[in-house]
Amino acid sequence: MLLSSNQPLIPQVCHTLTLTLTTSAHCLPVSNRPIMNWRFRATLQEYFTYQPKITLLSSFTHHYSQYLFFQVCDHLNLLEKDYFGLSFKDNTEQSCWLDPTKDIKRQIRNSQWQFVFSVKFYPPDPSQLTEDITRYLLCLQLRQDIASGRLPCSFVTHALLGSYTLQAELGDHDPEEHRLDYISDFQFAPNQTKELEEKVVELHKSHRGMTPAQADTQFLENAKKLSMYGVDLHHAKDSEGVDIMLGVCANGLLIYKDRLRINRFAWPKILKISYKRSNFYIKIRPGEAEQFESTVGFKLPNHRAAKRVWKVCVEHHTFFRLVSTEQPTKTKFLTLGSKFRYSGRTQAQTRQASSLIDRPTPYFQRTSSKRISRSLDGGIALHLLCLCVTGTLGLVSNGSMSSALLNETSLYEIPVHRLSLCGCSKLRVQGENIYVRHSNLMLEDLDKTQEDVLKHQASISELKRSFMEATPEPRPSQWDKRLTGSPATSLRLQAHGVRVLVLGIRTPPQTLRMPLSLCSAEKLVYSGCFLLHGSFKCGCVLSLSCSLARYFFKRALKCSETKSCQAAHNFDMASPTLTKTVGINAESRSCVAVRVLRLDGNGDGEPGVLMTAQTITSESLCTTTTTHITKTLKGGLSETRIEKRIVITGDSDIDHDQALAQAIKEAKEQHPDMSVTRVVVHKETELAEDED
Amino acid sequence: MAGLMSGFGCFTHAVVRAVPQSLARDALRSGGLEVDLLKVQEEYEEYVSVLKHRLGLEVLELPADEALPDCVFVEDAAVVCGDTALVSRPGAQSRRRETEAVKAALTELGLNIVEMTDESATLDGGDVLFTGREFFVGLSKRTNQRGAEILADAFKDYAVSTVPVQDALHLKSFCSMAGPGLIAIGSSEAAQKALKALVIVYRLKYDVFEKLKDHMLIPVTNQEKAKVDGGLTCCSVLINMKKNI
Repeated sequence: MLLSSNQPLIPQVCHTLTLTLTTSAHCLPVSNRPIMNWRFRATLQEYFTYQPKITLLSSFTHHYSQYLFFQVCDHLNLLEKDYFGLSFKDNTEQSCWLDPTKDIKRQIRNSQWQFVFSVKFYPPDPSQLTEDITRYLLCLQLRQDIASGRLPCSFVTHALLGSYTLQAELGDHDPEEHRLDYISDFQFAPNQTKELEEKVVELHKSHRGMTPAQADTQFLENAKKLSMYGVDLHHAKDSEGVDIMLGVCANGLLIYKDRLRINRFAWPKILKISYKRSNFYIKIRPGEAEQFESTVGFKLPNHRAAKRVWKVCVEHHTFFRLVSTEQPTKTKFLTLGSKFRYSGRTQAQTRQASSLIDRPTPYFQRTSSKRISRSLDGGIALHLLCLCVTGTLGLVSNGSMSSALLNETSLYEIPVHRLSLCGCSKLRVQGENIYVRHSNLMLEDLDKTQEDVLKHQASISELKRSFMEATPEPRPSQWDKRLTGSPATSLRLQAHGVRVLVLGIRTPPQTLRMPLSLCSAEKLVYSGCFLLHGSFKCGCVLSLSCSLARYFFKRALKCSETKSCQAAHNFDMASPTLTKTVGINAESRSCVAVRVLRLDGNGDGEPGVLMTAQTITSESLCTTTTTHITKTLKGGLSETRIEKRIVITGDSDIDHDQALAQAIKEAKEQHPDMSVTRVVVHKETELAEDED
Repeated sequence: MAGLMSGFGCFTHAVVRAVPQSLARDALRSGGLEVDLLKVQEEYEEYVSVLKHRLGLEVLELPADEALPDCVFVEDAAVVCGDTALVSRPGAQSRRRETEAVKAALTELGLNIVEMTDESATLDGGDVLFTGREFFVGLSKRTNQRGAEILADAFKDYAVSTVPVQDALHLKSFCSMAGPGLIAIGSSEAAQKALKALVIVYRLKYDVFEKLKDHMLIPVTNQEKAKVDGGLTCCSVLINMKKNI
C-alpha cells in the first residue's frame, strides 16, 4: 500500500519555491479576442527537515485515488494489480479510468461517486499470470464482456466458454443436481437460447475432473484468441466523415468500419499520437517503398473524447511496449496541453514483480454468475466490494447541522487514545459550513456483528451530539489573533478522547464512504481535514496516514484563492504532539482548514503557533502581485511560507514561457535563497476544462 | 473445435464438382484462349486423386451441371471454417445457382449452414483467405463490402479485414496460405499491390516467402483451368470434420 511520498529525502535545510501558474481566458463582449489572464502563484517555503523527511511540496495529492485502488486490491487479495483499474462514468455517461496520480475530486466532478473495478489491460497471454486469483478476476471481467456483447463470439465459442464457467463455478457435471434449468442463472451470451444452454451442458459434461483453476485457464486460452479480446473501442469518424470505430489494444490501433477491420496500425508502425481539439492524429512510419511519414486523422465527438482516446493509447503503448515508464521531463516549465503519462508499471515490470510473488495460493470464494450479471457498468462486481463511493450532502449554514447528511452515515469510532473536539463556537461564519461526515464502510470490518454495528453507531451519535454542543475552549486560537478583521474559525482536535470525527463538506449531495484502516494506538497518526467551503466541492476523509493529511492540506492550499487566505503548516513527524494546520479565509469563495493530527503515547499535542502572517499587494500596468507570507513555529520547527500570486493580463499572444520565466526571475530576485520546485499550469476557461 | 486455430490446415474432407462440358465454351474468362476440355478433365481427375490418395481426404464428388459452366470451381460457392459453412452469393449472376448443390452437400456433412440472402451482398469464396487467425476478404469485381460484412457476422470469433483486389479475379488468384502463419504470394503486379496492402498497412505477422522450403510440394497441372481463371484452390472446398471437443 503506497502511502508514503516517493519524493527524495532532503537532508538539510531546504528552501523551495513553488510556482503555481494559472491561466484563464475570458471573452470580452467588446472585443472579440479572448484575453488571457495569467496568474502565477509562487509559494516559497523553508523548512527544517527531520526524520522522516518528506518534501511537503511533493505531489501527494494523487495518493487518495491510488489509496482507494490499493484498498480495493487488498480486499480482493490481489497482488497483480497492474492489469486492473477503477472506472467511473462521467457526466456524459462515458467510462473513464480513475487516474491514480490525480485526486478523485478533479476527475469525478459532478458525477455520483460510483467506481467499478475492471480490467484495464487485458494480458495477451493470461497463462503467464502468476496467480490463479488474477486469472479468476480476468475471467469475471470477460464473462461480463461476453454477456454484454462487448466481446462478440460465435455460438460454439459462447458454448465452450460457458462450459468452462460452469466447470469452474459448479465443478463436475452432476446429472442429479444439475437439471436443465440449473444454468438459467448464468448468462453466457447476450441472447441466450435454449439451444445454447443445451450445448453448454453437453460440453460441461466433457470437462469432468477439471479443477476451477484449470477451467479458468482453458476459458482464457480460448477467449484470448477472439478478435475483440482486449480491444477498447471508441466511436469516431475518419477524415471523410465516415463512421468508424477506433480500437486500442495491446498490439496497436485498429480501425473498424461496420464490423470489418479496415485498417490496423501496430505500435511499431506508429511514430506519434496526438490530439487537438476534437481530432485525434497518428503519424505512421513510412513503408519500405515510401519516403515520408504519413499522418492519419480521426474526428471524435468532442475534445474530451479525443483526449480520452489519446490517453488510452498512451497507456496501452506504455504498458505493453515499454520496459519502464519514462520519467516526465522536469526541464520544461510550461507545456501546454496534457502532460499525461502512464504512471503505473509496464507489463514487463509487473511480470518481473509477479515472478517474485511467493505466497501460497490465496483462497477466494467464487461468486455465482447471478451476482456477476448484476454488476455495475460492466465491471467485476464482487459482492463484497461494490465500490460505491458516493458523496453526501453536508450543507450547514450558520453552524447548524443539516439533517440531510445525518441519515446514512455515522461517526466512525476509532479507538485511539485521547482525542476530542473543542473550539467550535465560531461556526457562524459567513459562507463557511461545517458538517460532520463519517464513514461506516470498513472493508476490513465486514464481519462485525449487527449489535456491534449498532453499538458503534450509538456511541458515535453521542459523540456527534457532544461535538455540536461543545463549548469553546478558553484558550483563544492563535489564528484568531493573526487574522485581523476576518472572522476566523478554528477547530482543533486535541488528543484527549478516543473518538475521531471526520468533517467535511461538499455539494452536491454525495456521501463519502471511505475505507479506513486501523492502526495500533501507540503509533497512530491520523489526520482530519476540514474543508469549509460554500461552493467548493471537496470532501473530507479520515485516514490514518500523514501523507493523506498532507494531501488534503495541499489541496486546501490550492483552493485558497483570495487574498486573506493564510496557510501555515507544520508536519512534524518527529514530535509526538499535535500539529495543526489551519488556513482560513473569511470570504465565501474559499475557506480551508486543514488539520493534521499525530498521536503517539504521550500527552496532549500543542497546535502549531502562527507567528506572523502578512499580505502584500502590488500592481503595475498589467500585473497584480499578491504575496502572502506566513510563518509558523512549532516546537523546534519553523516554517515560512510565501505565496505569490501574479496575475498578468494581456491578450492571447503572450509568450507564456517568457512571462513565466520573468515571474520566476523576479521572485528569485526577491528571495535569493529560494528555488523553484514546482510549476503547475492551470488553464481555466469559462467552460471549466480540465486542468492538466 | 477445441479452440480457435488448433489444427490449422488440417482437413478431413473435400467437396469437389465434376467438369461440365459447357466449361470449354461458356465458362467466364478474362482471356480469349481456347480450352481443351479433355485436358481439363484430366487435370481434374489428377487433382481429385491427389486429394484422395496422397492427402487421404474423404472426397465428396458432386455431379456437374451443364447449365452452370463454372460449377467445377466450388470454392466460390461457400466458405467453411470450423463447423460453420457460409453459403455465398457469387458475384457473377450466371453462377448464383451453383450454391444449391454445394449447400446440400455441406448440410449432409452436418455443418451449420449460414446463407447469404442479402441481395445487396456478393461474395466469392475465392476472395476469402483464412489465415487461421483472421479473415482477409478481397474486395474485387465479385465480392463487395456487404458480402464481407455478412462473413464477419457469420464468423464472429475472427477479425475480418478487407483488401482491395485489382487486376485479378480473386484475392486467392495470386495468394494463398502455404502453412500456419505462411502466406504464399505471387510476383505479379496485382499480387504485389495486394501484398503492399496486406503487409505494410496491416503489418502482418506472417512470413511472406516467394520460395517454399520444408514443405511437401505436390505438383499438379492447372494450365487448362487457368485459361478460365481457375486456380488450384478453386476446385475444392476443404473441411475439417474432426471433433476435438
